[in-house]
Amino acid sequence: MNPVPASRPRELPIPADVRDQALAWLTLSQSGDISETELQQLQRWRQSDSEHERAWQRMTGLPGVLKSRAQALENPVARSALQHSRYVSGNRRQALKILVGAGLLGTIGWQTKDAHWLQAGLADLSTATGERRHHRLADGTQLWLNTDSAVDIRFSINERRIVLRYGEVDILTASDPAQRPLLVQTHDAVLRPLGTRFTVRSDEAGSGTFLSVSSGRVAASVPGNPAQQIVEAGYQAYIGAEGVSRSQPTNPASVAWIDGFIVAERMSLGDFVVQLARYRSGVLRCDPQVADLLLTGSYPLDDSERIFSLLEDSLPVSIVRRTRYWITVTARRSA
Amino acid sequence: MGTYNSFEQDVEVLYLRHNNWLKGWLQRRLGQGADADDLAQDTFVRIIRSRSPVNELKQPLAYLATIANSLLVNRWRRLAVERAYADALATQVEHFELSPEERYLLIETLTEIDELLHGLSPRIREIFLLSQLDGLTYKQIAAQLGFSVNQVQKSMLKAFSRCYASLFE
Repeated sequence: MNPVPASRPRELPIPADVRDQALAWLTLSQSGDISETELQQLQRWRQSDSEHERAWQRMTGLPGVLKSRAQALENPVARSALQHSRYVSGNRRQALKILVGAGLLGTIGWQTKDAHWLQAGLADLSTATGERRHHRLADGTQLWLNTDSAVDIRFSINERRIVLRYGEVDILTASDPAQRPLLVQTHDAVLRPLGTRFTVRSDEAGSGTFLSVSSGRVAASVPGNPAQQIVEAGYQAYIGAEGVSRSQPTNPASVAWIDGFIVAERMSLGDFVVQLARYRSGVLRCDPQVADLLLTGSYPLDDSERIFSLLEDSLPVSIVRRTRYWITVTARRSA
Repeated sequence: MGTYNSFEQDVEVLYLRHNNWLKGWLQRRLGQGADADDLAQDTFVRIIRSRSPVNELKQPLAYLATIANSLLVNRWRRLAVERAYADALATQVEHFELSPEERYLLIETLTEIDELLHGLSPRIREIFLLSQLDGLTYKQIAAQLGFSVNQVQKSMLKAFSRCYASLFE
């Protein structure tokens, strides 16, 4: 490839976390809809650190690389060829791996909630809201990703590390032919499963990590502290700023999502709606007037319309739809 | 002048010692004769052009194989682009063909862009081209392709990350 204007050989590499932030800003700046506020934020970000500015200078060269070759793509045949040419080398996974910088976790928390799209874009595996996925990894370990979740797979010669960026994952471990230990890392926990199936949930930095073990055992600890606590099968624990909580018996309903259900046993409607909202885009609210109603049953996650009609059939509530993405569960007005 | 000459001598030594091995190595990957000789030549041409010293190589074979491999990859990439171009041409209703020279240059440029966008799916490539060549906003792209703006944004991030990695990492 011809050298690009922005590239100078032997220039110092940009640290991974700064590079990823700069890539995010570049992506935003090319949207065609960047707001005045965002432009000011970008300005502040550039001025806050000379490394930021250096990374930004590099980024601004990227769009030009394609534009300088734009003439070739005026020809529609060439454009179509480029879109569909798929030379795939054995190193493709490797190449995409570069995108996932080592120091990314946490540093990208600079805009935590809004940055889910960014993290999902960079993660090895991710699901959108309402989506659930099953993956089998190279070592035979199986992952079930719940709605709106993202994980990185970092297998090396010394260890098999799974990083939960956000969301929820159920993991069935496989014994590794190469005998490498398996580690699961979240914002606030390091988990070492010992021949096991377990579920981990961690939404964002500071929110704590929820661990539920269905078989085997898991050694739970806090990053930077070697002290471990063993959580046995049938138990769950919460790992937060205060360390690992005492184990408590698990509720099998908490992992029903793997089979595609929300299972409610005398659950309040308010809690139920919070659960269901995780699987839907947009706003789903419960009127406080009906939040204390109790419900019991198995509700299919893939069919929220059916859930709504089940609710309307079994409880004195109605579903108010302002738009497809703004739904409120309210008390039913008697006719 | 001393260093210049000794570099050339070093390459010559490398060539005499390992050219046959390299040809065999390439042949196993290509499965035919003529190309292997050409690519072995190209490998040494690239070493001479790079002017990186070769007098203290710890693993000369691995060094040669790395360079030869990147040439192989490039060749396969070019073949994939040529094939895609031929396919795209076949679906054209109107007659449309370039002179051999124009075609050569076009494939060359396409191969470069293909390397830049290496590993990106057709969908992401389409989104990237709509944004960067046609100047559509993410909203317009989302509407045109029936995706969410969020999906478009994610695809753009992947594409820019890929470009960055191709150029700098």
